[in-house]
Amino acid sequence: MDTNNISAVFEMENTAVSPHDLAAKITAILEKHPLDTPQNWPEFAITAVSPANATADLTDLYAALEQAANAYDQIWVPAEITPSRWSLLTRVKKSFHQLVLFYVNRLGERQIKFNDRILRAVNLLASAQAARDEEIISLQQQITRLQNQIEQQENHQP
Amino acid sequence: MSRIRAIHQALGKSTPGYSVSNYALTLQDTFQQWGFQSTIFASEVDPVLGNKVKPLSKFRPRKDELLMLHFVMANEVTVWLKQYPEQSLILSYHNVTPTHFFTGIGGQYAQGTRQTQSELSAFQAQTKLALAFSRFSAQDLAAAGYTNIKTIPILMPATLQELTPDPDVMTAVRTHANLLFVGRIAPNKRCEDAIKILHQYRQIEPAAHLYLVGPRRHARPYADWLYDLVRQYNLQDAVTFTGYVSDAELAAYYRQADVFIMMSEHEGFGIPLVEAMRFGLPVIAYDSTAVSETMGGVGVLIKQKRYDVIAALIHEINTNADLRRKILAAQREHVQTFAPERVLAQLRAAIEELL
Repeated sequence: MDTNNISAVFEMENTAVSPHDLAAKITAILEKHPLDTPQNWPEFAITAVSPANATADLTDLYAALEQAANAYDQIWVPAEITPSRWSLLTRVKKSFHQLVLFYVNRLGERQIKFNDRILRAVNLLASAQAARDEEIISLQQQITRLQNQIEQQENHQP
Repeated sequence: MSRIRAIHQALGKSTPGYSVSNYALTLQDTFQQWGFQSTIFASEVDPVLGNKVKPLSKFRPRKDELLMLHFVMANEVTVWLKQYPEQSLILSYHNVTPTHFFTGIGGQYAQGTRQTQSELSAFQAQTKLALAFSRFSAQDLAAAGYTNIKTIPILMPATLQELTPDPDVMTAVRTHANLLFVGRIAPNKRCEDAIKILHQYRQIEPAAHLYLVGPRRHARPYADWLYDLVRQYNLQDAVTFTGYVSDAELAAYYRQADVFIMMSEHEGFGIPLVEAMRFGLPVIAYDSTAVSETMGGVGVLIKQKRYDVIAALIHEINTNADLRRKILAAQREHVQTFAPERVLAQLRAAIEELL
């Protein structure tokens, strides 16, 4: 592990502490405790899959699909609260408005969560597909190369 | 101080415990001590504060009075204030989280922040003094056309450390390898980074625990995603989301923590950084927006999000008493920058220029 890479991770202007010594100690800790660090940490904001950031872990795909299945029918609005019609008109208007907002927001949150699951699942599918595509292109290139080699050998045969 | 007889304040919600509301109440006492009349006008008035806060409808503009607008976001107050274009203002800018952080949260919040960014310039002509808590925030004001801008840290009375910490929290929170984050559970705060750091740190120190102390209601889809993340890495027993806590509870979390971490990517100032330093906690924070300014070269500033390295760094701070002592000594000195008497002197000087 390169101590220079470690010392680039943090900055300390404290003159009583040597960043280089601290980086060396961190290196020693990481050598003593080899950490299991995921290659791709989950991120909240969803980024569209491209071949460059594709990952092809089907376990994640099934987990995302299961979560989507659990969330898809959770879109509902309970209607047990009715605003009083005897309050002052403005207050009623305001209360009603807030009530509508409250429920619409709740509905929106659930819809977002469901969409989130679906999008993650589709992303993972796309990611897996992108990895397959790369594999196919690589195999096609290999076939073309082998075909060329065969042709060359056939041409050189007497 | 003459000619100006009153400095009033206007804000949206006035509720005990809400940071902007608390700040306004502290300023109200200060202005009154300086000899000004001072009333807080709010769109939502909590009955508990009824004698100190009045509804917006009670406000009457006067030429010999100043109104301090606490600009948090486009809300009922900013809409209401547009009917008084002649009223002289002090604009206290609390900074606005950029819209892109609310991708995945839903329309209303994202829409609110978008409107806020365009609304900021609306009061430029009537503002006599624009206050920013950091040079980073001052840049927003300058971009919005404000000219008389003063950068003065937020006034933070040192009352939290003097509180008796909540005994239940003191008992419930274990006293070994506790990581603490304080703030709203919102996407710009990057709470997931703290969870990822904990995931790594527990491979070195299996007893480590992360406390995420702050309200969750602002961005529930994000909070739900964080719960999923905690489950995904089997950290259910190692992460506590406290939700909103009282000051006594907050004091207890600060007292029982070992390290304070903030991986936020947007801070207009970063109040918890100062609070953590006041409580004698080593502070580790990601270098973004106003964070390095508030840190002032003390604590540890993270430049790259290498969770394994940060975990090892935390372990070193928690086990190397000499390193810890050196970090805390520098923090103790720096935190004096935010001492209430120093901040009040700067604020008073800025206001006296208006008189």
